[in-house]
Amino acid sequence: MAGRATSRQSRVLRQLVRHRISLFGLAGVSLLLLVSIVGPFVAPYDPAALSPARLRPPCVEHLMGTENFGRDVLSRFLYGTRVSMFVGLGAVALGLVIGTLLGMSAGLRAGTIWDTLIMRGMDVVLAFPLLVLVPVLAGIMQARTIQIGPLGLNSIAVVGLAIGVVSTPVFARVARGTVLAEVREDYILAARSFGARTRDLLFGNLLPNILAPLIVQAAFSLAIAIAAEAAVSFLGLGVQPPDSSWGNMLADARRFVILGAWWLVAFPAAAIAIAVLSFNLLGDALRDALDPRALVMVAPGVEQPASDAVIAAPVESRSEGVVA
Amino acid sequence: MLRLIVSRLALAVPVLVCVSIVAFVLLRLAPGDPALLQAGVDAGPDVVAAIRHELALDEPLPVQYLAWATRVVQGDLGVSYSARQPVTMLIGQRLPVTLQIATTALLLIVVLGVPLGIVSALRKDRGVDQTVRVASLFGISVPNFVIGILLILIFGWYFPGIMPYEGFVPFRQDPLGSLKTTILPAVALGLAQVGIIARLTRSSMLEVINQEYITAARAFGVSEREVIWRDALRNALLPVITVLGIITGFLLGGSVVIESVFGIAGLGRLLVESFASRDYPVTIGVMLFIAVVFVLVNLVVDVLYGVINPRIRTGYEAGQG
Repeated sequence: MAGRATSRQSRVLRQLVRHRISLFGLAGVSLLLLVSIVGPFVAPYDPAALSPARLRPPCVEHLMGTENFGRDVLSRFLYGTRVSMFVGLGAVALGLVIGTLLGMSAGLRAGTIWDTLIMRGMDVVLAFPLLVLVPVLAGIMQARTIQIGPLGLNSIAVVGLAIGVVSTPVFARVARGTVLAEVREDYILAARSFGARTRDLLFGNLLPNILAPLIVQAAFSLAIAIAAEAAVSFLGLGVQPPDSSWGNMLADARRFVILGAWWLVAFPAAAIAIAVLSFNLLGDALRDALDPRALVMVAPGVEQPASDAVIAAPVESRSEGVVA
Repeated sequence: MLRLIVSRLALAVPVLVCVSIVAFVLLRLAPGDPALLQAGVDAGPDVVAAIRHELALDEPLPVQYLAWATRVVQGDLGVSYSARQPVTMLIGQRLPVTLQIATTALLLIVVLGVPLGIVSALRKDRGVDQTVRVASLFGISVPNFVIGILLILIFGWYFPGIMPYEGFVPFRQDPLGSLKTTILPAVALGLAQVGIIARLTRSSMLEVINQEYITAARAFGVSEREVIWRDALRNALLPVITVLGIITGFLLGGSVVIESVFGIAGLGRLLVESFASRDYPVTIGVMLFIAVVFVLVNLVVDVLYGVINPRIRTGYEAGQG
């Protein structure tokens, strides 16, 4: 049928286009990581140094202009990129580790009280809209000095912790769902029949096999975490001055944007957009690369739209029972 | 039908109880002695002790929680430290503002998103489709408050005087002016979700169009317009409805940030302001209120979905683990 031929052609074409877009995601993530590592070393000024040149548009001395205290926007941006990326990566790493451990142990003991307790606990975290729970958690934690042993938590760590808590449930659900699917596989039954201990099963057999969906989820969660940090810091409940982050740079920008100070908005806004877009694209590419089954299962002509993933994650996790 | 509602409610109740426990724990973790703060600076120790006893703060934690939860169920969320008014009253004052903006945003999302998705699906891989897909990808990547700041830059600096970009006029006071002050915040709040709904409508429409019953309808000679608008659309919108619950969550959360961007005294702004004055009963009250609304909206969406799609009604519980 002619129709089928063209639909296959266009599918192949879309795959190609999508892979080129995925490359953009990879490039964006690499660029941001590079900036956050090297950035502070090449910053032209001290990010906290005041100068009489206030609210100057971009020029040769100040490539991104200056803000209301005369501080160099480029230098603040370079430091802020490190802070924002650190918060995002730290938060997702935290959520990934804790969520996976909780989800795996729940999945292995599916149907027990332990399972119910963990998964309903995760439901409770998800009962709050993200941008309500993160500011409240961060705000309450910021108001107290938190001391873990000799380590005092600064405002950056507090935001990371708050976002980490909120990003835990989705990993727990993914881990539990995949464990439930895997436990029925023959290799697990075989390992069990040979008398493998639970711990060996979890980390020796299961973890390597459920890693793929978790990595995919981590990419999407990074996109969400970066946007969340920006929002909380914008509200003044996240990263506190003198430290800069994309979010608190935008909080300053909000006050002076009415005076036409576009350069205060443009750079952090672009950075956030690139970060969120790149991690979404990366997650998409990883999903395609790590799960070849997904391509086979999809009916002809119906592809999974790229960044529905942002929203697909909560939708899927809400119907975890169906998946499992 | 009734069974569906009851079973959904039964699932929601434990979640709501846990939500309230989380809120209570956070309230206790927050700095400050509620009795001392409520009594005021110049109150004697006996007054503070009386208030402490009245609020059951001298009891063990579980008893404290029960006393607090009983008051919450009766609609008493405590008294604001700074405004010296009941928290429920403050919420009542701010709620209409947030509702007006969120409803306008929701309207925008549905009125723009669904048709864009349909057009996108019918003109698959052509100009319109590609534009919608790329635009929605970018829309999702730019957080709503950034869009808000950009809107303020555009309407506050480059084209001043066209649109009010700050503050809010109550609807009763001046309906037209009120709508004007609603537009920019609603656009900022809803723009990203327009893309999400458009993409979702598109993919679900494409899926439905390829189903056998649509082919069958066409084979029977049902006109193309009828096939698309009557048979396909009704089924294609099912997944869109499920997502509306999540969208509501986005809107409630988004209003926290958006109201700060545009300087609007709504519920979200109340939450943020409460941190500045360390007014934790207000913080927790608003958080609890929003969470309950969110859980209830998801409940309604769940039930609604069951009403529209009879297949869901039976066997849905099977998967719940």
